[in-house]
Amino acid sequence: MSDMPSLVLVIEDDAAMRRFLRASLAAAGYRVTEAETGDASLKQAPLQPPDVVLLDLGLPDMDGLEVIRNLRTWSQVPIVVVSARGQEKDKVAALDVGADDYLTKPFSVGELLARMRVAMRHAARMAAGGSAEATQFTVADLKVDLAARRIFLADKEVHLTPLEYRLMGILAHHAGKVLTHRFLLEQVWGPPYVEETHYLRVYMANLRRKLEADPARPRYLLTEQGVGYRLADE
Amino acid sequence: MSEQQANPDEGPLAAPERQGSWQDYAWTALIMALCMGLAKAVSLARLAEPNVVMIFLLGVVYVAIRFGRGPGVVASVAAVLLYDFFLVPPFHTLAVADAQYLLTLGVMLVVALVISTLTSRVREHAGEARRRERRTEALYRLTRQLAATSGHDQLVATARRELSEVFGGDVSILLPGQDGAPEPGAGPPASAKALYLPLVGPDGPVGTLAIRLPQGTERLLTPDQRQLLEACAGQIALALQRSALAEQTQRALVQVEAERVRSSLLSSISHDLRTPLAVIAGSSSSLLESGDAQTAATRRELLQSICDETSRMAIIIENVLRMTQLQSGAIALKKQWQPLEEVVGSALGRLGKALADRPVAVRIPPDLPLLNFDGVLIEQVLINLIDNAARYTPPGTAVDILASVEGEHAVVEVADRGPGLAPGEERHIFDKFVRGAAGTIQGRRGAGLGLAICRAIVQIHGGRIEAENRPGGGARFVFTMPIDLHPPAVSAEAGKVPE
Repeated sequence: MSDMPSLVLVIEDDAAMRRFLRASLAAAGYRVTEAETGDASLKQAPLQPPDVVLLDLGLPDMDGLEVIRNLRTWSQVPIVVVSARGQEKDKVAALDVGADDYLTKPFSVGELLARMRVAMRHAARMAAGGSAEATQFTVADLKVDLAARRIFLADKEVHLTPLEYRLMGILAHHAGKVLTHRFLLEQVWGPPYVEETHYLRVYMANLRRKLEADPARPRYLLTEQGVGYRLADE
Repeated sequence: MSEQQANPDEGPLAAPERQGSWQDYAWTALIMALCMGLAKAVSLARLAEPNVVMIFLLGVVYVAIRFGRGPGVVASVAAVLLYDFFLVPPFHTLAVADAQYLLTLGVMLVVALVISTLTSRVREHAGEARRRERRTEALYRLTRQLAATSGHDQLVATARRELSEVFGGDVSILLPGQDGAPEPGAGPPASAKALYLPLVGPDGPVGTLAIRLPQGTERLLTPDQRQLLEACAGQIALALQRSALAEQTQRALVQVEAERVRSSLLSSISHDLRTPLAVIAGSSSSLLESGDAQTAATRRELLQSICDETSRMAIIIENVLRMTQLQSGAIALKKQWQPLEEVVGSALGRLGKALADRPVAVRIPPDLPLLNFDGVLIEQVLINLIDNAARYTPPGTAVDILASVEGEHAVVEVADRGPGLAPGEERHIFDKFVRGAAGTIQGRRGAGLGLAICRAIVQIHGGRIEAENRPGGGARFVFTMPIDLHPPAVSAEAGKVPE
């Protein structure tokens, strides 16, 4: 990345929340611009294209989903949405229209920065396209070679069935990012299967048995309850 | 003998016996002929004359009892004529030779008429009594059935069933608030000949009773049937009004209970929220006003308590919101087929640091079938139970998460080796605002909602939750979830084959 610090667009109507985000992000070395309303953010974004967007779903003037859809018509900027617990439906909807990740209120600065790092790294990987960086994924003992279609655990190759590999490949391709049930089902099994969540769950359980030391306390294949799955990348 | 007798199952609505059908008169003729034959035989046997008369009177009595007044009168006259014609000399003519026979014949006619009138009247009364009894019985049956039924829909169903049984037609009950359209196929179509009766209870009209009878509907029009139908309608209206009233009372009770819960929730929350709030306000103002004068260690301590108290408040608020949602039924269960292992994993993942120093053993049989539940809610149950175990036991105490299959239920257990439950606590610990008597290890208290939420969630999944002391020390919390014997199949070849 360039030497210029990354620019964060904070779309948040609450002043105290903006103050907290501004202070924490500045301390972590980001540049910050702010918008109080969805409308203002959509006017501002093209003038000063951000490197990452932090969007509160509960805006006074328009649905946060509208903001995501609108941004996605012209930009692939990573978008992290902020919402409350118990609103899994909203999170899934935001992810399905193009958000990259979400934060659940209340969250710590550590979580905030981790999510933003993942989202930006993911965007960079997507931009890199077919380079070597994009075809290899490694976290701890797990190595996924997307080009050679091979998976290693502590340098020992693990054999997966074709469907298991396909699922693992998609997770690795989007490592660190939360992927919704619908997205995974559509990618692996095809559009007619987007409601058959038990397919996905059974295959995830199989993958965990092959890749996790303790499948009930996964290290790599993380469950985001009510939303989807995430392949840990840190 | 007769047609009427051959039909023992006259409904309570059977019309009063028909007067004088041609069969009755045919039977009358036959019986009188029989009497004639018998009388002839008696007379040939040279028995005393009165015996002959008695045989005729016997016939008249029988006819009057069997067939009523009309045939009775006919039989009386026939008896006199037959006696005169065949048995009073000169034979085969109505003329009478001996004048004293005129007296016999006169008395015989009067007696026969009186007897036939009296017996037929007795018979009518008996029939009337029988019909009345059947009516009362039908009404009683309906009343009893209605009394044993509760709930509007069931009442309507019972009333329809009973009435169709008694009247033998299609019955429907139209209540205001419904579309007014009877259920398809059940109610009489607008074109059909149906009888409509208002259902009027003590507090006014409650609906309309519609009855469509099978062919030959004129049967319904007798006053008796009409009366019974009206009585039934009255009972149905009464029952409907009673049930509406009961429902109203029930609603009011629920409202009172909800109100009570709300107020105790409020008082409990306001206390539980004020304490952390006071810590946060105090610490932050202290940092603002005299932060520069404080040592780095003091500043850090104050900041740490702000951080801790905030997360404590967050948990309380989340619990309160969840409880309110569960209580108001605002939660739509999003059940999906999933392995238990996954939700245990995500619960442990979310608890994260809270369990850092505790050995956690998870034992789930690998052949446990997929279960059908709402992952977010069951995760909440597990988080609350595990967090509870962590808060009520000393640091380093192990927590075990076990699963098994018992009959048609999956049994999930969260157990610790802490101080266990106080005697008698097992039963009340799932009530709202009840906190463990032992006190938490760090002196941290929740709003006493965690376990109440667990119970509510497990119950809407059709399971049970229980707490007890563990053999060998510690507490165990056990909840069940029904196992569906037919989980969806996952075929290995499903979906697109990857290229």
